[in-house]
Amino acid sequence: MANSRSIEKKDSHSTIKVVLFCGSTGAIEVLEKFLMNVSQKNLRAALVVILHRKTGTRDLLVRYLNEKLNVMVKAIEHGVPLEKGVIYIAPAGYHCMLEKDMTLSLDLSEKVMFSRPSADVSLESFSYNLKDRLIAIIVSGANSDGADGAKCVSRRNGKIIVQNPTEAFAKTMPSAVIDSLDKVDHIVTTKELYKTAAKYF
Amino acid sequence: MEALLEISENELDDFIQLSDKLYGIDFSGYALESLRRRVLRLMQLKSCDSFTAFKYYLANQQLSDEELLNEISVNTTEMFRDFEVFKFLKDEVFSVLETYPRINIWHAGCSTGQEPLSLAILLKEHGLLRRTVQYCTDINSEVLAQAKKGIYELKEMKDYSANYIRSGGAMSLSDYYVANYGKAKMNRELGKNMVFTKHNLINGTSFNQMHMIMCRNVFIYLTTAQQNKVLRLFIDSLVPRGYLILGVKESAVFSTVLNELEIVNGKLKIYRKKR
Ligand SMILES: C[S@@+](CC[C@H](N)C(=O)[O-])C[C@H]1O[C@@H](n2cnc3c(N)ncnc32)[C@H](O)[C@@H]1O
Repeated sequence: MANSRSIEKKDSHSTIKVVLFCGSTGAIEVLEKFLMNVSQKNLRAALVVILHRKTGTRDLLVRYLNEKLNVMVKAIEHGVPLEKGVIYIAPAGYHCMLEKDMTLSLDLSEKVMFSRPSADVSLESFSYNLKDRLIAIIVSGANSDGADGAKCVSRRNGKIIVQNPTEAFAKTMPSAVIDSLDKVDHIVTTKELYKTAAKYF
Repeated sequence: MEALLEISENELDDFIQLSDKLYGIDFSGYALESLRRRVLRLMQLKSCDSFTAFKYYLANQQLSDEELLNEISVNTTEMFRDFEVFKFLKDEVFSVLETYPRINIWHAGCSTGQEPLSLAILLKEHGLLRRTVQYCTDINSEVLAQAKKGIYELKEMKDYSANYIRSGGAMSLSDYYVANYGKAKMNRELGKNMVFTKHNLINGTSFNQMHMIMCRNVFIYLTTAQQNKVLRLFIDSLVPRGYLILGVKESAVFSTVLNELEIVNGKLKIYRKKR
């Protein structure tokens, strides 16, 4: 028993897929709608959420989501290993990256596009270590953080799903991603975000 | 930006070896992703469009040792960052520290000194400052020099001030500095009992008889193996029942020395040596 479990763990370690959900202004509502589709059973990937937030808002988002959902929602601490079926929320005030051994790491270096966490930083790091096992979702936001990161994802064969800017509360962020790429895998309505992502895990 | 630059794992290894050989700086214990990011940033800053170009740049020693360390390490800090931690120290830990005739506190990785100053202010407000010695160490001598000066941007004081109040500060933060030409110079009294020493946690010696060690936001830059070594160093440096404070997003839970520590506050990462 113990044996088969450790094998499974090792195996999932090298095959784990990650959905990286990035957004800013107006993104919480989109995230909520997205998460209404999620259950422990159907989430066969790890979901990592990068939202711009004021520092000091602490883990309110984590508490709120934990109460609303029947999926495990974890606040990210440095060194936490990724597991599928779990939702991870990046803390305000730190950049969030993924190490080669599939543990999450945090960093306090300069803000990028006035943001920490920055979507650019996470998209670059996650795509570096996951290649085509990364599914990036970019939704509503009022600056163009994420556009450079999306280029890295695309170059490394990850999937890119963008919320249709016409539906976004703030369309700069999704529009910037679309403009920065030759080809976006999917531009979809808010309602279709989950279904589209789920095709890949 | 860095989006178009790329370095492979092997190239990052190369960098680690080069900086050790040519600059005498050992980055081998550092967390890889943030190191990779800092290297990409430095390459971009120096207009090196490939790792080969960057290697050439490094090999010709166009940077001083200090500069390389400065560019790679991250020194971000604030006063009263995570105010709950300071509030907890004031409300729950000071009463224990008070029982010692002389209080030794070690700030490991103190950067430009905002953290020791924050604590100095609270210690002063509780009549403990004069019998406290704060040992402030960092691997980077440039940030230590700034810490010694105690001069900061005035506009930062506004954010600091809100957190000072939320930490339970008794006065107004502006009582502790003099404003001049957009800068804030902290009162000398706060730094009187601070000792600044360059010290590398990775191969450095232990200190003696510390009642409290604060080492926040340094572990995020170290590999798990290094974190364990540094924790060993800390435990050896603490008096029995001494306090250890890590960053709020760091954790000793995965460490090999956990059994020697008691968790005082899991959320705030406040630990205590068992005996
Ligand atoms: C992000 S700053 C944290 C400053 C402060 N403790 C805080 O939390 O606000 C990290 C500091 O750790 C220092 N550091 C990194 N590696 C170190 C090492 N091996 N030994 C000592 N200091 C180190 C860096 O120079 C930097 O000043």
